Amino acid sequence: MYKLKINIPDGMRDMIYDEAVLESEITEKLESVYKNEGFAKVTTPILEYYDAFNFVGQPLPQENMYKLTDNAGRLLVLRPDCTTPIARVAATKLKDMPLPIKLSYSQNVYRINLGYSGKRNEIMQSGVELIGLDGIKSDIICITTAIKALEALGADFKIEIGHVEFYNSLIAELDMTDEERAIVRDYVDNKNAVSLGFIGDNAGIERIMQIPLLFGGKEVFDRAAKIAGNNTGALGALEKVKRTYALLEGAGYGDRVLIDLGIVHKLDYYTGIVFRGFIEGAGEPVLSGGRYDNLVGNFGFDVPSVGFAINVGAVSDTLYKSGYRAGDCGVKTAVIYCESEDIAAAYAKRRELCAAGYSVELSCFDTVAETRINAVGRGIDTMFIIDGDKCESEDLK
Amino acid sequence: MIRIALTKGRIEEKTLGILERAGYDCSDIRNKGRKLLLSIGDDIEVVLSKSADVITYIEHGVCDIGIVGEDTIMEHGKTFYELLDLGFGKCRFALAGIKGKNFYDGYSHKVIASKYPTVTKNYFNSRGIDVEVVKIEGSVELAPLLGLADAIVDIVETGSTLKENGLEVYEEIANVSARLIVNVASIKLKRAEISEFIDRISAQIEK
Repeated sequence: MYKLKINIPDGMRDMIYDEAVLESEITEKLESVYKNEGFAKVTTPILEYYDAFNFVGQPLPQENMYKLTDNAGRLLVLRPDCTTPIARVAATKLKDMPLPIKLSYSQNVYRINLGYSGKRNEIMQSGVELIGLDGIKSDIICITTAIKALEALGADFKIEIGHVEFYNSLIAELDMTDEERAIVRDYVDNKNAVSLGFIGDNAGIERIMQIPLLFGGKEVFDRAAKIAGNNTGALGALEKVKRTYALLEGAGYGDRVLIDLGIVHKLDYYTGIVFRGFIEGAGEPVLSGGRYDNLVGNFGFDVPSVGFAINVGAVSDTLYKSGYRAGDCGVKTAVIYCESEDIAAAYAKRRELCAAGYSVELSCFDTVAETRINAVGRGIDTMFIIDGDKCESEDLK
Repeated sequence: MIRIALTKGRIEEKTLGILERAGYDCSDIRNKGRKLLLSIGDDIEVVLSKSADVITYIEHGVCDIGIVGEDTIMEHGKTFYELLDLGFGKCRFALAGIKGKNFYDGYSHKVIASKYPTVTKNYFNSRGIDVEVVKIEGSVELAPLLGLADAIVDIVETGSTLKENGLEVYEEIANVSARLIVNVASIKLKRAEISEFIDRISAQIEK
């Protein structure tokens, strides 16, 4: 039995120095993008009632939520997602505000993953919600905000877009039980055309089998149109993706945008356009979003909405692994050593250095030697030694 | 550069055959010695590993393409794309037990032994049946013989091990074969390289 006292629970992390700084730097960069696009920040509590996350189409199964109870024995969860609480806020406290409501957030979410999977259970999520508008313009605003957010991170990235109605309309034509539908959807989600082929005895499945391969550049549109045939729902969805793509291309993002008409995960949650973002080196999408017009309605305020969330944890792990370090923006650093009686002189020197653009600290050590060892170890540029009226400087780099 | 995780053993042997027919130089793998990171050509790295690890590497994106049995996929999660049936390693998941016994007789809570507890649990859950699953690491066939379990869920190829031990297949659960899987981000970010690889090897798969 190891000591629980000195260990932390599965999936949790202490973030020390560089890693902690990097995560907050990324969050700040994202928040400044959201602010420039006119989104206002909100925070919601870490504890919510379980009921808020229990609705039809809720994409997160309850076994993935941390649960506890309040003083009346009611079931609480550690916030497993940010969008749902924000929908709750919009539907209650902000329901009399003029629409649209543009909100942004950056806060941790908590999810229980399988043990030994190497996944984080505490994840910093940052994103936006545009509530109260439907139509292509709000989709575009949301996607361009996502693109600008990924751009701000400085990594190479791609955004892919799809539309849930493409698949939904085609599968609706087939005569299937709900169970069969769930199986087919899993296969399409995993791009598993092989297993789809084994379902075979349903005539329309051949069309469905081609959906997983409908991803890539704009050459996908012609193939998709053939598959859609005369299905008006699928054609309508395709038309929306085409227009969105054309508008994004016109805005100069053509080389950043991919198409995937086979995105079917969280199908009961999303109602329109869906999109995901990838950065080089991360093995999972770091951004996911789309239109969920029924979500806010769960809380009694029936308005459409669209938004996205960025997995800041995944972004910062990826950037960290690729050697990126935060905070290195050319600010010179210095440490001042003095005997206690010279502290006034040291502070005077400190003011002078700060004015010259230095980041300066006073040494808490009793000797110059200890100060030097510590400062060199921490990569500080210069040491100043104050002795009465004298001030010597020593370059540590 | 793309990196492929290949399941050691029989799947490795068969896959090397396909790769060689597709024109990839596999001499590095054929003469691997104790090396773990190998290469076929300039831009493709190959990692040999146990089947469940192939899935872990693909899910984390440290490898782009994995070659692994469907049995392992059914047991260990599925956040990746499953793009090709490689056509070999064909066998089936089956529920088996002592010959001549009716598994569903009586009201007692059934105990099932398996190396694949998730597959077992999912199968019975989907049919609305509650069973107790016991995880066994080695020869699962022993469990009903020793009286530990009422039946087993296991991979059956020819059925000769079952036969020799007085067991028989009660029910087929699923057919499995070797599959090619791809990380969800890799397929979007390295599309050209991955499509080329898939096209070259799918041309060599025996139908």
